[in-house]
Amino acid sequence: MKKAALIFINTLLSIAACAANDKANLSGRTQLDNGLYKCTYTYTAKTTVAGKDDVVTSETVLHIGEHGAKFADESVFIPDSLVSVGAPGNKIQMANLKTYGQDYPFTATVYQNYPEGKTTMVDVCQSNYAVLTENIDVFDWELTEDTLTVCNHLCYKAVAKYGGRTWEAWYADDIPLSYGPWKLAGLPGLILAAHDTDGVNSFVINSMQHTDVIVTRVKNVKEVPVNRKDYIRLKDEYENQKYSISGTTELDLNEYKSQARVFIGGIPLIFRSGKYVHLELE
Amino acid sequence: MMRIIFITLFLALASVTSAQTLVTGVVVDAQHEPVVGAVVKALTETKIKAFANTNAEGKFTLKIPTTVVADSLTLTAESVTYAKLSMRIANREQNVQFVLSTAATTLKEFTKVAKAIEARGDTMTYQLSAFTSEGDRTLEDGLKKLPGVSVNNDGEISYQGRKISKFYIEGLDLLNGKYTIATRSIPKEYVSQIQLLSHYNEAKIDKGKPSNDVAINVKLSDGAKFKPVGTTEAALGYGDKLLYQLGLAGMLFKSQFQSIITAKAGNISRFSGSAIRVLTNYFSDDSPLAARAAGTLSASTPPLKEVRYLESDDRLVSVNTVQKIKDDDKTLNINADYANSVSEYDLSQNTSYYAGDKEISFFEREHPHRNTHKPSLLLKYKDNTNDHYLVETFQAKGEFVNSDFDTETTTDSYMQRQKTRMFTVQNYISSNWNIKKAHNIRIGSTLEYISAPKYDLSVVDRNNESTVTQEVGSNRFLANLSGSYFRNVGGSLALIADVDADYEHNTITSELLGAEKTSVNSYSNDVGRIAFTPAVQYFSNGTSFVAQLKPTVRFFSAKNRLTGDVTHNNKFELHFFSWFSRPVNAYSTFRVNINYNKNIGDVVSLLTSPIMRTYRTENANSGIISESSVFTGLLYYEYKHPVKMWFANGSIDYTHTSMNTLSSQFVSTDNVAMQALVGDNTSESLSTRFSVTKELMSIHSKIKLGVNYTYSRNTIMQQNELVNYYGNSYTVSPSINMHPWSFVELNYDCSYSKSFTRYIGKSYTRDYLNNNVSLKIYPVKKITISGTGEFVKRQISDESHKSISIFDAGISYRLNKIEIRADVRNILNTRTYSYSLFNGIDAYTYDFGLRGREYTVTFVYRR
Repeated sequence: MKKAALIFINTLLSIAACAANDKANLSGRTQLDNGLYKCTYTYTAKTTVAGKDDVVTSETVLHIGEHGAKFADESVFIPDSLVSVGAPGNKIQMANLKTYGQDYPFTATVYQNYPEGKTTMVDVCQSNYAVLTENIDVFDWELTEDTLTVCNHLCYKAVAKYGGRTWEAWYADDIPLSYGPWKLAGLPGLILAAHDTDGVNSFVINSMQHTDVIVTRVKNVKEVPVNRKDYIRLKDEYENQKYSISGTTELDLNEYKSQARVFIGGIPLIFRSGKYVHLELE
Repeated sequence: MMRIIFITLFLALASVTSAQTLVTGVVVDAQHEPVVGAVVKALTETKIKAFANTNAEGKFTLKIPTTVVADSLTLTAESVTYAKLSMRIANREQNVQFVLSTAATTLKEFTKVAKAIEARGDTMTYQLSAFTSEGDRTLEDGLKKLPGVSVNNDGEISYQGRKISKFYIEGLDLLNGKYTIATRSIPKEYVSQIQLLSHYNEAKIDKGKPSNDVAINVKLSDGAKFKPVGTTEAALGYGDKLLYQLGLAGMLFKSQFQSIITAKAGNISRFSGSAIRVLTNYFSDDSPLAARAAGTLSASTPPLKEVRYLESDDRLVSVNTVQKIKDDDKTLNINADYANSVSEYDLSQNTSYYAGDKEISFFEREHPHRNTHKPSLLLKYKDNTNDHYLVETFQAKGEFVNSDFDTETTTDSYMQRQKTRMFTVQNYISSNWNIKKAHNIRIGSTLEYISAPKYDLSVVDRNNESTVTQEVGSNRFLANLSGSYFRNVGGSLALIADVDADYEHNTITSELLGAEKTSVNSYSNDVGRIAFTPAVQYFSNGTSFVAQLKPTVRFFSAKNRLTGDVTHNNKFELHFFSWFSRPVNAYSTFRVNINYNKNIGDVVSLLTSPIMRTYRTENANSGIISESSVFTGLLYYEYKHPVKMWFANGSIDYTHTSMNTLSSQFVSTDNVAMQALVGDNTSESLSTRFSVTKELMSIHSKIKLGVNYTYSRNTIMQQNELVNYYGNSYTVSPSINMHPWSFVELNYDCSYSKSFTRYIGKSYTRDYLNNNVSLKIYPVKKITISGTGEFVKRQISDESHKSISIFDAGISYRLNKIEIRADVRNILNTRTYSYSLFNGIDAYTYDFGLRGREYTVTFVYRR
């Protein structure tokens, strides 16, 4: 009888826990994974600001889970944090509306190994969110003996060609995580720094911290699967022709940052301090 | 046959492409659950030959190239939550299993150490801890280490040769210019970053408009925020007298409220003067007319630290708060101070005046003693948003000084006593707002009342037992109303129209009592000014251009209250102000300033009856309103390369002045009479300055070289003879701060200067060499042993030089929040310091008495 009562109580608790989980306010998101680590990277791009050669930076986050990782603009991590602590939906919605407020935002969200063996990139494009899915091992890394110390971690250099650029990545041999910034993944250690050999784009890690924030994916209604060629074309049209306003003044950007984003047909209007630079050319 | 060859080739190629040894396997945990995402590597020695990640079932496949000829391989399996496991296997196809156990420790978190200097737009951010050493105590010590930043002996901060215009702590202007209270009270550990903001405009509404101002923002470390922090200091010592110093500095830095409250008393070194000195001010020159008419009884200041020669006894209470009101844009400041400083020292001086065919010399031995009281109160409200800017400032302050100069000549003995009493009440209000995006309006008003009821000097001749008293007093009331209209006319071009109207009423009286001759001045004076100032501004991509023309109509009337005569002097003044600034490249900028001012003198010009300034000098004016035209040109260049840590700046400054009055000096054996005479004359000066700093981070060293050159030409009527005199001087000042190893730090700075004076066929040269060396040794953590040496060599006559050496030493021990320090100053007990200099065509030679050997023990507690 006692055993039956315990089973009954246990069952009730389990049901309550499941119900609570169902009620967890994911605010239009799907939980992909439990979070393990939050790595912050500075993304640097060589571009033109007001017609002059300049360098722009933005802060990005690699959110590592048990089965994969998600890489995006640092503002994208905030709604995930709010979801994890059960924040009210309106707060999460406000955080969503304030994404991409940096001078030069990183608009793509890259899911590494979600689903398994695949890299899925979702990016703000012309009239919709373009979804580009590739194999995670699309980078054919050549490992070298060159070393570099980044944040007190000994890193080895690996080289691969991808998207019309040659990438040099520095991975930490003592951090057994095969992820990295943007789509750069599939090495025997976490990538702490990477740059293309044209000297246009680079990522450098700033910190790595434990996190309980769950890894989520927003259910965008306007997602359109594309191939790489279409993605580059759509992105180019979006950034350099219609919606993006490049070369805005610092004053305009500050004003813009203090307000919620402007959406046109569900797609956010992106302000950039400099002309958009493609990470992949072909 | 061809088919066989083709098949053979195909098989050969196929065998080449599949020339890999496959090692498969699974990684599981102790419960035999699959470990997902583990990294599995195959190595020979330490070189990775193949690697793979485990899938959702924990499985992996390693493709070992056949080029790997080793008989065996090391296989490792790693995952962030499991302990790394290795196994040795034969180099052949096989299936293996790893069983990982939970890791004893998780992966360590890390944060990248921020760059020592980072430039972003107009903001240069320094990580203070990257530049400071164990021996540094305060924020000021840290600021001195930053490349491009310099701090003078008064605590005044300059960046690339320009004085800062604003000092913020976490974005709030707590101290309203009296920032040495913060820089000398805040421990360096409380500060994380220093931000230098170039092209700074305080009003957000003015953001983006041309500016050459530099501001500083101190970012605090987390430990210094949100809770009360502070420093308690107590020191006791012995030298020529008992020495003591007690200090308490309490601070609170919250996001909505900041406060620094300081109370300090002591006689070891003078601190009150620099602590309350306002280094940025809204108000125009607030020195009373009486001060200019009577002059301030003073003696020369030697090129030594005050603590070497000055006996002092200071008291200071300073309360400073700033509170954000309602939102982040509105702030209210309260700054209240009371400072009392008593100082005295000994000197003897020989002054040699050119008197035609001979020189007349005066020898004096003096003991200046000064007691100064300075209370002040400042209230400030500010509302600073992107659309409007409102500031209201009220200030009341007083200065009460008693100066006693005990003076002995070769034959006589005097007591010169000056009593000055000054009060100032000022109010400033300004509002600035946008009408539309391109239109901006500002109105402002200033009210000032400056009273100096007493600026008196009495001279007691001890030989004759007679007393002569010079009484001087003045009052000044000023009201100013100004308005400005700003219009952006498109792109980067803006037009501005300013209107200024002000009225001032002055009274000034002077009377000499107890002398054989009477000498009285008494005037009341009214001045009105109306100015219309059109201006143009251009700012684009870092290129700035500003030009403004300020024609001013000035109405002046002065009534001699003794005779009833009224003097009218209505004049037209003209001021032109312009500057152009352009970046040469990403690292360097040049700027050109061209200004022209035509200035009309004030009622002091009408004081024709002599006013006694010392027991042997008197001053009288010409009786006509002085006029001067001043042209100044400045060429400034700066270079900043934060990555390579090179900072350099240089400037050439030229000034040409035309005047309608001429300074005259007539020297007799018992008196020096100074007078302003009617007579057109000109003067000019050229000043060049260059400074370059290189930071060598690898050996923690800052190397700096400064070079100055000045030229001047002036005219004076001396002994009724018109004399043109010329001055040239140059200074070379290298300095180095080295901290190559953690246990030692060396500071060395040197200054060599040479000056030349010539007039009527005579020429004189004087040179000066000053070396300062400081060595700090940190034998173990928490202990600092320091030694400093000051070596000075000065030319005191054409043929002779005089050298002195002064040494100090100290040891300190820090234990968490407590520090105990023992110091001995002037170890060699050096008691005199001599030097000479030229002022125009007069030559001065001084002998200063120095403080003797002193021992102090200091106890400091920091919370």
